Amino acid sequence: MIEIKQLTKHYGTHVAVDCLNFKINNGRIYGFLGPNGAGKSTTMNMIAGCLAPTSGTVRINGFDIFEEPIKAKQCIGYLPEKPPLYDELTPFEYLRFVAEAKEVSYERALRQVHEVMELTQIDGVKDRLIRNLSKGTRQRVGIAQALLGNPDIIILDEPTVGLDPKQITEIRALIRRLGEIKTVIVSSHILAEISETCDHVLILSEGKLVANVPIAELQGGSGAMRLKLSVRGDEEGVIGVLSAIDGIESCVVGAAREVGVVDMTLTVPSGEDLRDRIFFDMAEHRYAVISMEREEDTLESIFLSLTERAAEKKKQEKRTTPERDGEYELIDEGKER
Amino acid sequence: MSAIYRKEMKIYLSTPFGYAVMAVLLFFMGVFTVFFHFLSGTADFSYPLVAMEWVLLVTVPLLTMRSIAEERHSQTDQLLYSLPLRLREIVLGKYLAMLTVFLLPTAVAALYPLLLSAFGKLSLAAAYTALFGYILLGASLIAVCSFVSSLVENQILAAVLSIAVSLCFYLLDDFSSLLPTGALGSFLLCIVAALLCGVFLWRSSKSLNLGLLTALVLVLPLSVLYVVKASLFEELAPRFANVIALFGRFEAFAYGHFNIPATVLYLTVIAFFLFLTVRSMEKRRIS
Repeated sequence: MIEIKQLTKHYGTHVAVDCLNFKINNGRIYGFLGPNGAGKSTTMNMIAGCLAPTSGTVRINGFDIFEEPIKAKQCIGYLPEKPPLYDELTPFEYLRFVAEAKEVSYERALRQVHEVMELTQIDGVKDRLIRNLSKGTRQRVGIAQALLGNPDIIILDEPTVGLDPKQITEIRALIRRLGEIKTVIVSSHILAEISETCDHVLILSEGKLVANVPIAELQGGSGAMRLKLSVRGDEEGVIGVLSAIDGIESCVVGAAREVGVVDMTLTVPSGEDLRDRIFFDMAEHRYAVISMEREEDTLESIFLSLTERAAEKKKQEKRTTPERDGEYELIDEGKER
Repeated sequence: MSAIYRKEMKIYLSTPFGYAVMAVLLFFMGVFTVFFHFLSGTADFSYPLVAMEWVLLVTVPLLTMRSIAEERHSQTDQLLYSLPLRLREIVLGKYLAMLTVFLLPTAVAALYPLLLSAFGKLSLAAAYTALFGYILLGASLIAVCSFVSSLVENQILAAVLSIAVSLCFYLLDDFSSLLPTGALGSFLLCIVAALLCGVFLWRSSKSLNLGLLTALVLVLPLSVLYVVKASLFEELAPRFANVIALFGRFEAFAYGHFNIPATVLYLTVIAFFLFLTVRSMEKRRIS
């Protein structure tokens, strides 16, 4: 289990990670999602012990990564954004080095190296120099090194970046396989990647945690219902009928695609299904409903609204909060939901 | 540490780089041995070793340039930071691998006095004392250049800076006469050195308090000492420069005298620069 409290990282006056608080429980695949520069890699680097925070704590299975680094690091396998590979070595030599560095005994090291090579499907290239391997295979070697030492937690920073579609599919399948036996944390700025592979998502924006929810809950959206409606009739009359229906918050009329047909988008904040009511009211007033379609909140729209809201909030804070000693005031925003 | 050592040795011995450094060292050692012993008829093994000082000025920076700079450049240092290893184990593992690459051709050169003694009178004790000094000189230069390699990301820059720093150590003996001999001049140089220590600790630990405290702890006793007995500072700067002149200290061994103070100095320089390398890597983790 990873427990993060008040984790903050400053680069000069720039706040890269701003007071993060969250817990990562065992046995699930967690996704770190956020636009570029949101603080994902910085947070992962701090969890893996590669970077010291300005303040805050990271505890891995009860061990503080900065006070008991050896014990804490034994629980973690980490693949940074750029796989840390030595071009002069073969995958087998490289993995043996990592296994030995993780203090695995000689016999166990050999067994583990063969196991992870089989799991990541790199045994066919084990004796080729790493510099001659394709990007996808290099990524697999990087993942293999993270698995050595049998750590409970695997941290993968943007594992599919720069890969072709086939390689992406293979790496995602591998992550899902790993998720069955380990706790996996994957970072990405691609939403589809997180929604396909993860059970739980943590969204970062401007260094702050803006959402910490199961992926299914995020897909459930805000609870509001949006309807796309096309009705044959005059615009004034159609809007008049809709305004008589309780629960519709807004009605945005779009450009007409067909003469005599009004296209519009309705928002029902309560999420109540008003489709029957709209249909019969329109029919009663002799307006023909050409089409009526429920529009789901997409992950993209939720993600954008969350990150944009956080960015806007931060801008407002900068405007209203006076700077103290060149650093912005820290506000505890990242409470676990 | 042994894992890092084995990995480094594997890289040195699986690329032409390590062999090239060893070949250059062996080649020049052979050339100087032939020149001084067979062509000039000298019976003193320290001659080729003293001539090797110039070769060390270039080969040691080439040997150490990739040590840490390359790890930073290729971002493999992130792997090292994430492994359950202490930074001192990483630095020591790398240092011992470089030392091994330096010692392998030196081990071959260690056979030369035995071979030469078959052709004439050669003091083996003096020869091996000189060789011991040569090894200490090389080992301390490797530590100094490793530290330089930890400061930059570019291998070439690391090599150029290392050559410049090694050259400074080489010339220190000659330039020590230019330093102020008066008590005030030496005292001021001590204060500057104390302040630089404070700045280094502040920058490497990101703790201003630690830097200030270190500077204060060093400056205060120095000031008190200067007020109480200023004569202690007379000629301190040139004497100190003479003491830390790594190449100058080798002379004592070259004369065939086993020099304990020089041995202690070399070992201190090795420990000090390895400590600075660890701090430099720690600073990278903090910044």
